[in-house]
Amino acid sequence: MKKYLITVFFILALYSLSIFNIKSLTIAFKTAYTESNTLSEVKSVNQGMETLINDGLNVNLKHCIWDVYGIVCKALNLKIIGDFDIVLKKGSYLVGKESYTEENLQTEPFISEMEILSSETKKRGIDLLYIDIPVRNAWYDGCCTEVVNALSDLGIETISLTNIIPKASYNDYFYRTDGHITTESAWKIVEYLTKKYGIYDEYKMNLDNYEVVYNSFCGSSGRLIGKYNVKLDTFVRYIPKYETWFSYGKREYQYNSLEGGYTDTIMSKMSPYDGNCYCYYITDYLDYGEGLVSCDNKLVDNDMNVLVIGTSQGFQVAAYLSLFCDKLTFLDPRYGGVTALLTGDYDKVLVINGGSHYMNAEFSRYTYPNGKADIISTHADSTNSNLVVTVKNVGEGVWNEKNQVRLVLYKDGKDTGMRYFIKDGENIESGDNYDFVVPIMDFFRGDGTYSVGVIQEGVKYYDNPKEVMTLKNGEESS
Amino acid sequence: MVFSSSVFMLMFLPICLVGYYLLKQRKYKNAFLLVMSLLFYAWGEPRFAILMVISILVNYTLAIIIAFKHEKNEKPREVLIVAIVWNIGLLFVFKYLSFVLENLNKVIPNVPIISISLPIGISFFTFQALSYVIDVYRKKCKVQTSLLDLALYIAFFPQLVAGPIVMYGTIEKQLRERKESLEMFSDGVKRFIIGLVKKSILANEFAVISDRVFTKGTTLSLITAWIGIICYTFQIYYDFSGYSDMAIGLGKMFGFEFLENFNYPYVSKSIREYWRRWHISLGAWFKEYVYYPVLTSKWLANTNQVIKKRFGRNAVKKTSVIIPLLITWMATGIWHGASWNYIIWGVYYSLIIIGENVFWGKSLEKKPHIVQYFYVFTILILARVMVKTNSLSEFINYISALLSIRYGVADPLGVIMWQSHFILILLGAVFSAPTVPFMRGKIMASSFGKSILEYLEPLVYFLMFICAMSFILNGSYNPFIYFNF
Repeated sequence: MKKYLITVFFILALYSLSIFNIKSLTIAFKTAYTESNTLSEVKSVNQGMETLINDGLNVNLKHCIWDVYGIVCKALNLKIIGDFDIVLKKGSYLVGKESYTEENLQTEPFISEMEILSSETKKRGIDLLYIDIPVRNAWYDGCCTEVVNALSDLGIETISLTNIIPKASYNDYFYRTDGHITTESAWKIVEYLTKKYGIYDEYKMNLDNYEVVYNSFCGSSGRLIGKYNVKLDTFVRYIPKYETWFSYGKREYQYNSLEGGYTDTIMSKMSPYDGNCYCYYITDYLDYGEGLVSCDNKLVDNDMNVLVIGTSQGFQVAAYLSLFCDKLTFLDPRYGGVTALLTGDYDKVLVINGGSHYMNAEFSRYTYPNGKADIISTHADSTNSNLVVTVKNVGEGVWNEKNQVRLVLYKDGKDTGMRYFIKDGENIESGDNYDFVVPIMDFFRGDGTYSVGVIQEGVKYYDNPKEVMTLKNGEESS
Repeated sequence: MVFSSSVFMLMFLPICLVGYYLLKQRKYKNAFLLVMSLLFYAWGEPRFAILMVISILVNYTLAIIIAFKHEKNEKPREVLIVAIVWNIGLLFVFKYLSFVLENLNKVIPNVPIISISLPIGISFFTFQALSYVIDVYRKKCKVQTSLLDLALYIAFFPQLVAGPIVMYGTIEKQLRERKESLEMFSDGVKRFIIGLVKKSILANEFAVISDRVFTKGTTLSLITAWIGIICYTFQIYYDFSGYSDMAIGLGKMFGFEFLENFNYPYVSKSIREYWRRWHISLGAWFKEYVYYPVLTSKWLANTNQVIKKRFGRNAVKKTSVIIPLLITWMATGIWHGASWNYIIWGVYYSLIIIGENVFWGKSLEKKPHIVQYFYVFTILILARVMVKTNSLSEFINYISALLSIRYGVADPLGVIMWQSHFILILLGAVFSAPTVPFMRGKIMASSFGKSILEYLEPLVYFLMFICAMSFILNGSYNPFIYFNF
């Protein structure tokens, strides 16, 4: 019997791994095969299945895997982890392969996109500031310096984190186990910005008015080799003790913004207070991955409306800055294909950049300079309590959800944040009509004049919004 | 699909084992294995699964015709020729045609260049199919009347992608008469785990270094160049032998006994010995179906007659060895890949093996072991550089980097590679020799050691399995080097 022990262990281990992850395996399988229609698609789907499975594994199992992998690497004294994913050096980490490759990273189209952004902000009299977050990889410095210099040549105000927080070495700005800036660094940036924008609040800047939560943190580099193979960081979170209230908008809240305090909105995805070191606290803010969120601080009335365009380096900055601003919109161009030319409402635009992938951010795609809409008619749907708004595309370009052309609801000429979408897969060519569906209750948001218009999200409000109704004393008067 | 992947370990293998052992009758078991094997193959390239099925049908039919002609006491020579043309032709079209056209185009610009995808494993399954048909022709085995069983022999997933090349005669009875047992299953599990560790930990980690060094370009320091080639040498051994171990292990899990494919080739004292220990099944195939036929052919006999008349008997003694070896090794080189690298590699090995057979073999045997090991090491290093570099100039640059300090003794890359992987390189050297069987033998010699090992061994295998799975499920570097086959 003893000689069959290994078979018993093997079968137990093999089937435990499979059964334990049956849900994720099924999801991976279904996700992959709903997207494939031809044999060649099946092939590429199969190749992607590995990633789907590895990414979808049970979380606790993943943590165990990281630990075991790290222990084996440590036992073998490996310093090069993965395919040069990280290289362990005494006391610090190098993130990425760039140290040992000779690739030339492209600074375009980022600089061109910033040039367009700069020209639009100047036209509208909006201040544009670029904050450069240096990357820990020593080689990469050259690339970021080139970007900073190019932006300065374009007349764009730039500042590096190294100027906001003068410190001796990069490791003071960043986590050891992760490429992101620390909470303390983000807080310093917020302090700098609030002073610069004239919205500094001594009470809110005082950390005594925050619950400071400390957690062990093993970031995205650290988890490549597991917590037993690294010196863990400490992730700090500042939770306001004072009252906060936000109207928080994102794509999911199509008809209603989410209303709530800081931890119900800005940090709604907050990891547990006693989370383990593998919790990825970096993504606790602003519905990471959403792409575009808007934060209307109901308890601040300084009319400061800020657009923050950033990668994950900017999330904490934006989240904490929202405590000081009247309105803050956060745009992460990596997700959802959202583009960013300006609306007329922002007072400040802040671009926080860090990382090579951001260089490919596209700010001004899907732009139709001659995009126009005619609101043909509005009528109530007899079968339900919806309003049907018929709109004609009288300009250039195709309207669809990919291009983020939507119907917007105004109240007293201001964007309420409410959006009505073109159905997936539908394309409205120039000259065609489309019926947007608006729930009638959306108009009953307090007294005022309600109108509808068309927007290309983040790009342009189309002219000719149409009034739909005016509410007075809670009742419709037109 | 590859063995060292989440898809295989978490989905394919569990389903395969459950399905196989739930079925009772042999024919249903074989059918199930065939379906799973075709699914395994189609996973990587669905359309080429159809090609394999067509090849199976053609070979099945041709073998039936040969057997039929045998019964009628007719010589089915033409049918054999058709079978050879079909299988070699298939291989030629998918593997070599593009290469041939590309080279012809350099001389005759009007020759079109076409790019044809290489079906993975075609080098293996065509050789297996051909060996079956030839053995039927030679009456070494009975024709397989069950299409299912023949299809299973050709398409069986453990050896489909990277061998070992299973000759039909060794598996004929097992298709219908094999008996699965717990003991065999256990042996299979152990073998599979060893292969999994070899591939997912050792080979893949060596690949990280060798791939980086060989893409670095021409400015290699001495240490970097040596680390690169040593890691490549170990990578290719652990990858290939690891795959073979997994194939043999999986075969045992389903009741099949495959022959060994590797026998610690790096302890060889001559190149002839090396090729008796490395990819044994390939050597056996070429010996059986190329070397001996050439050796015993009328054509060679006639050629020898001519040589004897012109140069005397002594010359014939040499040419009767040289010519078959040259042809066999040229074919071996070409089998490995459609590129000038492999053709030159084949010529290179043929000259060395001829040299050992005819000229210096006997004096080599008398040399001290250290000299023999150094001799083999040097030849292997040159051969490895030959296949890993893409041009003659790259080859020369690499060899000069191994022998000079033109770009310095060490560079940051070389230093970090050495710091990172020196333990692994040491382990690679230790385990490439029969150290474990030797130690195991010593321990098992005492009853105390034996009883300790009985408890310790399952734990060690279990830990090895968990460690290997952590590498696989972590999505670590996992290159696939059999795309040429």
